[in-house]
Amino acid sequence: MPVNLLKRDREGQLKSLETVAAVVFFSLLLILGIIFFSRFQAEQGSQQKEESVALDAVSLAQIIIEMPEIRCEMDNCIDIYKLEAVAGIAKTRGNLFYSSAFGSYANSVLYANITLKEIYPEEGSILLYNRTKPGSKSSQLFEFPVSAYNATSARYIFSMLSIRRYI
Amino acid sequence: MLFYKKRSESDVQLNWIFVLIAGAVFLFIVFKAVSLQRESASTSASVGMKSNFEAAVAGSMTQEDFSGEIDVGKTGINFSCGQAVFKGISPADLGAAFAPGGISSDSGKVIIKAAQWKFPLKAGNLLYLTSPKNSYLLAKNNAQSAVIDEADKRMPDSVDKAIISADNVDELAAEISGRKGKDIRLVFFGKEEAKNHFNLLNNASIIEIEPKIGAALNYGNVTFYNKDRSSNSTYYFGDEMMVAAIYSGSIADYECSAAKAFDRLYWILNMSQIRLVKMAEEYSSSSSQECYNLLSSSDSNSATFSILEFMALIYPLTKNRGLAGISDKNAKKIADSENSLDSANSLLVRFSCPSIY
Repeated sequence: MPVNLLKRDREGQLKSLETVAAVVFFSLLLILGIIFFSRFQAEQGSQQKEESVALDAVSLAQIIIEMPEIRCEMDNCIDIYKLEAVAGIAKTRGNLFYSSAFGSYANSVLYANITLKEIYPEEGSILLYNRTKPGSKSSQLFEFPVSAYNATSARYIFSMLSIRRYI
Repeated sequence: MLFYKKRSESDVQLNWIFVLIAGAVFLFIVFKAVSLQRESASTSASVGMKSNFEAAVAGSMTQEDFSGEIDVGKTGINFSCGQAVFKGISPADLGAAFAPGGISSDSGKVIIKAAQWKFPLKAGNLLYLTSPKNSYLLAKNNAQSAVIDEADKRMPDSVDKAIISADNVDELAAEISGRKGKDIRLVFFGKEEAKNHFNLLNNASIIEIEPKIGAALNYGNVTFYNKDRSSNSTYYFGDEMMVAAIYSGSIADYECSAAKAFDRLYWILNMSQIRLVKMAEEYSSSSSQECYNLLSSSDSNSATFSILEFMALIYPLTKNRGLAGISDKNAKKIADSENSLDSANSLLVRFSCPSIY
């Protein structure tokens, strides 16, 4: 084979190697970019998730306090006897939002532990609802001060509505 | 020499084929991305609307007189059995919600109002939905003026509503034609008040509310008329449910959502009864025998007995089409039981015992 032809062939091989190297380099850059972006997104997502769990707990506490099933008829308080009755129904129906009248709340599964902790002058606790999330590794606890009312002793009790949300 | 020339020619041809294929793939990806983007924009609009409706449900659960507006853009929205139906995603379940069948795109807004339902216990809120495109004409009837005023008062001012004279048929027709492009609901109050106005069925949907005379509670029949002049009747109990019937697109939707409301009422009554039994147990060992007697189920005048009686009457209404299935006699019993529960509660208050509500 003539020498000049051999030289042309080697040059061609070098050119295609150059192209391959450029493609590999840009692919690596692209992969690194994707990894960096997805990590950033995941971090942002977990932050947003934590915020939404907190907002969700506040909204859940508000809904529970305002439920006519639990709320005192006249005052802004939680009726202990009503709470105990709701706990029984929630257990048998498997849902705190037990009726189709609750709309989308009735169709979704609530993973939470909701307890009323009586603090003063009486001490005690009443479990309203408990359902742990299968495979859940973490949870967040939120507590809201409420006034509970015992209708037979006509006594108000300073209490905390404790909501543990499973993540 | 010839061999190398042929090889370089075929190389050039292969290059062009590669460029063509790569170009086609590139164009395909670009068009696919654009179509996916359009699809996702439409889905995200639906998701946004759905979350707005669900937020409204949450709002109605925390505020007794919740009201607001939701922007539905140009997509429009359909309602069926308390569910808001969207394009491309699952519907939003609004619970005991009453709405016209569809809200078209022209108005772009849905007006929402919650009304606390007391029967006689607080049994959560009923959700009313309508739009600026819907008009409600309440036909005047001097014999029913109190009921008509109550209905008018309970509808928000942002809703297009008017109390009009039904005596003059031409005047009524003019009111309807003056609302061109609107979905008109014509509401007559009193027995067979609608029968002289069936000619208006082409331009408006007609319902007739017939309150029972002499009852302490506003209850009675509500009749939905179809375009072919046939009709279906059912019941309403209380002012809140009467207004719910006015908002409802059809008798099926009204009864379906009413069944949800009665289901919650039934369970609230059940919980009240459990609460009373627990409280009676507390009093059984104390000196307050009067409270024990009034609360416990052993006495036929007791609060527990009244609740159980009321629950038995309410139970059939928790099923869909339950309202249409009850007899006049049972409807009267339900209305009277509401009063007897009220009396039992007053008795508890009088003796300083814990009340039912």
